[in-house]
Amino acid sequence: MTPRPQTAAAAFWRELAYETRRHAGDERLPLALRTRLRAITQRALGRSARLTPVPERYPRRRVRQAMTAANGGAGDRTAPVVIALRQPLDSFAPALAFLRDAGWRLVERPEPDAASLAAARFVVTDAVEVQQAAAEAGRPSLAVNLDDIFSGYPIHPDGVYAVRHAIDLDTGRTVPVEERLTEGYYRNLRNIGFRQLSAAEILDAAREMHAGVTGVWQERDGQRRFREGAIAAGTLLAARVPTVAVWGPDDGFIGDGRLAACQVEAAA
Amino acid sequence: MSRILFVMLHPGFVRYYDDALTALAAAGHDVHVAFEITRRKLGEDVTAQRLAQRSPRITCGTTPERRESVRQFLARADHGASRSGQRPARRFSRQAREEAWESLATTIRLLADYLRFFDPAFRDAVQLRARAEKRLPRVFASIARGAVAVGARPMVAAALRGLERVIPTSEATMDFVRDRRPDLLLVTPLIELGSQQVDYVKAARALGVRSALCVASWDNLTSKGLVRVLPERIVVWNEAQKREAVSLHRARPDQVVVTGAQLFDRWFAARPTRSREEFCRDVALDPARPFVLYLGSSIFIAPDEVPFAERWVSALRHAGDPAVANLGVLVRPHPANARQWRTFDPALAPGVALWPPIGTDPNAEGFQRDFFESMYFSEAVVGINTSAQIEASIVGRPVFTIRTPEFAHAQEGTLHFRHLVGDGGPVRAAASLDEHVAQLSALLRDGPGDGAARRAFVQAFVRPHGLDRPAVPVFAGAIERHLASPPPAGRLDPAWVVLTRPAGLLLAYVARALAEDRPLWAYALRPPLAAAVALAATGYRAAGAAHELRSGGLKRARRAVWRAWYESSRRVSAWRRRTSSTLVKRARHAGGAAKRAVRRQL
Repeated sequence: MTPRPQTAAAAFWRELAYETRRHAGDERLPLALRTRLRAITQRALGRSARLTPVPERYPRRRVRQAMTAANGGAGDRTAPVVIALRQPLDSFAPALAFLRDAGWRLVERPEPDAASLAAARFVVTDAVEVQQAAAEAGRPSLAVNLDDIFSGYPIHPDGVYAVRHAIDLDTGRTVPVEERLTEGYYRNLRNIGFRQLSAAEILDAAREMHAGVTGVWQERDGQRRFREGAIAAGTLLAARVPTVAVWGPDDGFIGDGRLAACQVEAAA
Repeated sequence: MSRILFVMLHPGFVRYYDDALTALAAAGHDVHVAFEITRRKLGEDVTAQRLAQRSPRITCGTTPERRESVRQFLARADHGASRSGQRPARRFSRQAREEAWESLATTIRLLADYLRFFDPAFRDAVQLRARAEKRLPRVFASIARGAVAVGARPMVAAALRGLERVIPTSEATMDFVRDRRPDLLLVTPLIELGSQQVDYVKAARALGVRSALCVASWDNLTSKGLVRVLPERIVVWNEAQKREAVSLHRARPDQVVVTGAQLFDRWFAARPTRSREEFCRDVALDPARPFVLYLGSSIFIAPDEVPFAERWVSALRHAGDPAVANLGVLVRPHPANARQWRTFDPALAPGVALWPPIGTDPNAEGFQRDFFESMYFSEAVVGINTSAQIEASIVGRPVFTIRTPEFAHAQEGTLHFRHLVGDGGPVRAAASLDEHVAQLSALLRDGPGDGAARRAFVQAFVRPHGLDRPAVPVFAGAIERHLASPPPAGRLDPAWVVLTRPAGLLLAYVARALAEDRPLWAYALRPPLAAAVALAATGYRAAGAAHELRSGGLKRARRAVWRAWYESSRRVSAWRRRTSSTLVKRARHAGGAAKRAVRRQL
């Protein structure tokens, strides 16, 4: 079925389900009929769900091919580091100073184009789109202050990401990163607010990125556990959580990159 | 003295009128405050209890329950909600008729409220229009947009006003007002989107009771719904609101009374209870540094305020002027929008504090005192668009705001913001954070000035009868004057209203169905589906009866056979017992006789 009739058919079954559910709630009807109407409601909802167009998935294969085709420029210390910050908060200053002191040439481009990304050694950003564009260009990124673990994909396998602290707005509790891989967390997003990472956390992430890019990536146990958890959660949640459904568990994107070590250690 | 019935939407409005009602009670009037809905989010119920404790002449209660509140009307469009177990009313029963009238009333009121935002005065009020549209079933929103497109808005608005007259006031509302026998009915706020409080104004008109609308706050006449049925009097704060009542709500100038903002009287009399050093210590600020106060706004104005506040703090800290860069910063969240501030981390920059802590009870002792002292000890006050900026002007602080695209809907997109930043407004607006920092720098360098413009605003906006003249007695005086005026004659519905009511009822049933906000074709599904369900129900009932008959007849036959067997077997065993005992007796008797005969022969 083409999308338009499919959408109309999904709407028909959904409306039918609402109607039959309304009758099923009428206590004046015989119990057996109400039970049957409930069953019809469930079947109609099921049909509607099956006909509802699934969210468009990210073009993973193309991205993977682009990533593979791109030459990472490993070890090229003369290539610049693109700084693409949409919200240049004070908390980034120590990390940028560290990178500068470490010998990197920083180029500030809030909206970098494909050419500047391709020419970069790596990218520091607080925008998901920039991080994804960097991954497509085959460049690792340090993505900071992201909201969601899954919506950040694709991320370059050598990328580091750090998510903003999720705060339960009812209680003020900071939600641990492991809990952000559960369905309950995604169901409760309206009660979640995000707090920016501190300067110290961003500095730690920058140090980790620098160490990885200039030497050998050393994954810590916590990072490995988190990666495994993300893959498992991606498989489990793919059908039910829209953010994850965009990705699906296959093609191996989920689990790429590393959650910043400082966040894993804080959780531990 | 007189009986006053004050109908409030919820106890949250008590704080606007507690002093005024106390003054009326002290003057010997009996005041009954009736709330349409309950609200406990910010301890409003406690405020109502405290009001009732102020005077034995003040009582609080609730209005009669409605067949369908606005909230329930809106909930019917929530298709995901489960309604299993609800028993729908019979189609033409009294309950169904009343529900249908309520639906029609809410529909046309929401529609009228939506249409008002197409007035040229609301050209920039995109978000206000969107908020009104969101509550309206989609089909009516399309009709409204179509009417606006062809220039028929005034005609549709007039038709809606006519329909409002056709809708009967519920018996429960009429009985409530009749039983209370008030000399004056006050109502507030009356302008919530789709507000049903208009029924009380209609009841007062019908019963010949004096009525008045008390406009609670500065944005009420411009950011919400229409006053659809005008009461005899409208009590407003100032001349600006009077103009709004006349131009936007079709009020006559002579029915609008200007009294001042009675709820702000307390700020004129307030004095600090501790030193600046003690205050700074309590809120974790450095007493040696001057500080600027950031006042949070409500959730409609600033749904995502924390990122802006962080940028603002950052701009201060990077200011070229060390006086600005070293300013302390005190952030005070809006009490009804405090949750989001849990994500704000004062430790992101030095010299920043958030007070009071999130979750502090607004009724707690010292809450208002802390608010006053936060303003009183600050060098300046900054906010997006909040009534607290008026309060800061009363306290005598310089007030600032920053125009930003993310809050355009709440600044240029609202009419009440112009009171703050327009001609004579007390708030200095900056087009960017850099300009704002420059303004703060100039303030710290040159001082706040003599504050003449600020005082002029406060006089015009808050105390139009004189800065030294509190608004509470003026408000109470206006109410007493209205009480002294002759009551209006009770009005019966005109003939055209009575004659068109049956047609209106049909429309009401349509409105009730359309309130579910389903696609129109879905309504076409209903008759055949209802017929199918009815047919199936008949079939199920017939099958049930046959089954009952079948299973019942078998049961009876089985029981009869069992009973016959049981009873016959009982009879047989009894006969056997009887027979055997007779034989035994006879055998014994024969044996005894034989023994006796043998003995005799021997």
